[in-house]
Amino acid sequence: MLRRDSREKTGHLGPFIAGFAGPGRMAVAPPIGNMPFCSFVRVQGIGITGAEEVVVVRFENVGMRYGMGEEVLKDISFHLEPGSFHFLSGPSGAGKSSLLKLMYLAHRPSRGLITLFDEDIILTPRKALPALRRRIGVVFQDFRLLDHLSAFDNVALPLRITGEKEEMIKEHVSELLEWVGLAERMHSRPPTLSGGEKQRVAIARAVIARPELLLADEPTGNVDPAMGDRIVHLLLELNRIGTTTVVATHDTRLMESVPGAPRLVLERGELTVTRTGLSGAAETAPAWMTPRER
Amino acid sequence: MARRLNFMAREGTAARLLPWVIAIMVLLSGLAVALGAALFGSMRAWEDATARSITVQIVSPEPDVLETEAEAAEAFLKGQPNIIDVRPLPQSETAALLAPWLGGDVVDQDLPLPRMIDASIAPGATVDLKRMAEQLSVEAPHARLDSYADWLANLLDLTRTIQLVALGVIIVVGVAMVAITVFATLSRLASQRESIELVHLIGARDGAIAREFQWRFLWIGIKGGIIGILFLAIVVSVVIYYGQRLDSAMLPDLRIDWWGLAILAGLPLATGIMTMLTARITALRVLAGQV
Repeated sequence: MLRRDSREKTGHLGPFIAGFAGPGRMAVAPPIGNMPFCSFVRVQGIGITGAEEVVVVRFENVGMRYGMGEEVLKDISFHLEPGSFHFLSGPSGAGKSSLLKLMYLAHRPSRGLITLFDEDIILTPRKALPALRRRIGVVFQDFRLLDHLSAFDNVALPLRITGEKEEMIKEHVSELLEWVGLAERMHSRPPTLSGGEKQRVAIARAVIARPELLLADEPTGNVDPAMGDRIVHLLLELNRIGTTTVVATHDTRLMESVPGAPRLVLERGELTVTRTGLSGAAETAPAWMTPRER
Repeated sequence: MARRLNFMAREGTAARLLPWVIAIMVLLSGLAVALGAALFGSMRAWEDATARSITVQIVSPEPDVLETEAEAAEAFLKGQPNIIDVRPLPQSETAALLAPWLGGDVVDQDLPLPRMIDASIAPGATVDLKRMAEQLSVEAPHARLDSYADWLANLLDLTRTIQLVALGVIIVVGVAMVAITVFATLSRLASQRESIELVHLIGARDGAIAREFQWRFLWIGIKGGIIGILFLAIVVSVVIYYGQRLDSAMLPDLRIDWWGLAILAGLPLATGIMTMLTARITALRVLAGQV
């Protein structure tokens, strides 16, 4: 098992963390200072950025409504390149959660085309959805931890669903919980954890199966600024090792902490994009955003 | 066997009553099985005991006629092929047979008693009893041949009817148990909706989720079945205890064969399998309607 002190001395990472760096994808470096999370630097990206790479998410003229109500998302078009990092922002009720629901396959669009990993989700049979979902990690705004399970068992859930061996689960989950600073709390149940601890358990659960797409809904919404910084650091580290990441947030401080990250901005169900990095999308910012935010 | 995900919290109080409801169902169906099995066992015993027996009865107010025709009938029976064990009943035995009905005092007086002659049909042989009765009436005009066949046929019809009723009870109880399991599964699906949605979104297949339900309800079914069988054992013990205290002359000798006991012993497992399959099918059908 990986121990922090040995990491700091040797720069060696445990099998789970190192496992993020698949063949030809990237290498890992020793952690920075006394940050609780490991640090990675990308050195090569053949596997996920090569000529035959697929678009991770593609929306074309997508509309969505609940029941017979008005459309909450209107003509949404964008696509996410592999390994990209985006913020998703907008006022409350603008449709951020609805857009995320479409991306993590909790809802079907009313119209338009959505592809995930080049698979049209409308044409994908229901039986094939679990395989797609296993490639996606989700950090829910309300964590959605199972209160009757320990932090360890909550994080282990995705691995148990995919039928991994218990020895491997024990090793990797312990390592990841140590990585996010919860080694001492791994046997605690969620009701006894603080908001920040729950947040980190939720993040650990989202990344334990090494998803190709990570969707985080207000991941810093319940934590203090210091913890928020640590979470952002973790998300960036995951992104640097190739995980396509979308972070939904209201937090302008959080968005400013990642200069250059494209922002998907939703207002009244319509999407605009600020910053560069997305193709086929508008480059105009909504009126409610300040010029500084652009 | 695939590993359980254990994503569902423990049931509430209402759900914890389910094994007790199932136990009552098992008790009812167990009583029906026990009744059916006991009647079947007794039916076979009655058939064994009476199917080959015949009795000749000579009824006449004239003592001379009784004596003459009794001797003639005995001689006739002994002369018949495939008729064995011909035995005239002594008057004392005939009086003892009538005593429960007429009272010992009455029988001991000068009441004219019929003459009875018991006989048996040889094992494996068939006898035309109607023709034999006609021939007997020539030798002894006051003789009447009883083969028990008609009486036994009526009794067997009655027992078969009771068995059908018992089978109907078992079917109704089984349907009720399936319905209760369906409701309980639906209730559990509703109460665990958020957990189910979560594991769905993490990538669990319907089969893995349904498996959680099937093992849970297998245990509930077996637990309810065992409790029900224990209740049944108590009820049957009480019935046997009070039955033995009664004068058993009026009661048939009820017994349960080994296969009846096997069915009763297998009821908990059968209940568990039924609740397991019901829960699995119900869960899969509901999950198929979700995103």
